[in-house]
Amino acid sequence: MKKSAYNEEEVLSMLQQEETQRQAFEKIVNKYSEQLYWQVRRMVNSHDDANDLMQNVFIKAWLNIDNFRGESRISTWLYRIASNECITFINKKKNEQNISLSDPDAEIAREIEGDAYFNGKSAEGLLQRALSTLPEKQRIVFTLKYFKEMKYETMSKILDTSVGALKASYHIAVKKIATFVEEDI
Amino acid sequence: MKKEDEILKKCGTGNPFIVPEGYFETFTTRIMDSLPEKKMSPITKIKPTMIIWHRRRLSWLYMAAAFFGLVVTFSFVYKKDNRHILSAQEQQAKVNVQQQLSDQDIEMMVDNSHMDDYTLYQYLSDAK
Repeated sequence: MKKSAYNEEEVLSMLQQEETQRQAFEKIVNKYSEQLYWQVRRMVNSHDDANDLMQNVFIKAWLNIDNFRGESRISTWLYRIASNECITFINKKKNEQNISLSDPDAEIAREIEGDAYFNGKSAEGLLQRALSTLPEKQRIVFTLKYFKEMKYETMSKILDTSVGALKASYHIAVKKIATFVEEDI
Repeated sequence: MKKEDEILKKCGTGNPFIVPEGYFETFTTRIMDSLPEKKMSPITKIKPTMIIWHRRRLSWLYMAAAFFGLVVTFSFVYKKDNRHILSAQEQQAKVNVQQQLSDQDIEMMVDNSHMDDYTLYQYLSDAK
């Protein structure tokens, strides 16, 4: 679907009317699906998992759209839903697979290397492998800051965490990733 | 941040992933087709509660009891509000301090504190 002009105020107004609500939601999906997909994909690595999660995110957003009061931007709200979905998914997967704590890095590396839609040999691939070793919340913070250059204040609204904690979390993530990258090269 | 610059230099911000061909072109249509039908939540109208006054039986005793109840409730709510205001002020002060901390301050705290990552994170996030 071709990207059309998007006006947040207009979309918010359309959401209030039953006859235009679905059309407004379509504009939201069209506007945010790609950027949300890449955020989710960096969190879960696999395309199939990212695809399933994206469907869950938009279905949840749709079913709860009447409760959206417009106190934050639609994007902030969607990122919040997506982050929660990712954290729940990763924790569930960890429990199901019962990943051995002795060598979780090898397990993660094997999993993402096996994805047909991943170029693990590139420098970006190395960074993604490093990213996958982080705890899920540090992973979200690093992804939002490093790739999207999101402000800590916005991140604070998405993750319901203080700015100070986010700064500390990012700093710790950067140190871990730098160590991983240095050891690999 | 020095370490961040090193990562940027070595790995950049490129994307190691690809998606199946035409994935994003059909994404919106697929999502819209999968959405369940839904009616907008009707505005909940609060029906006024019917209060039956037994006027003839309402004695001075009842009125005195009601007045006493109001006084007790009011004093309780007033005290609770004061505590709430204090707590909000403390919270605001904490947020201000956290926002004033520069990246360098945070880095120094993380590097020099004798707390592990998780404890420090919990402390800074009020264990959220």
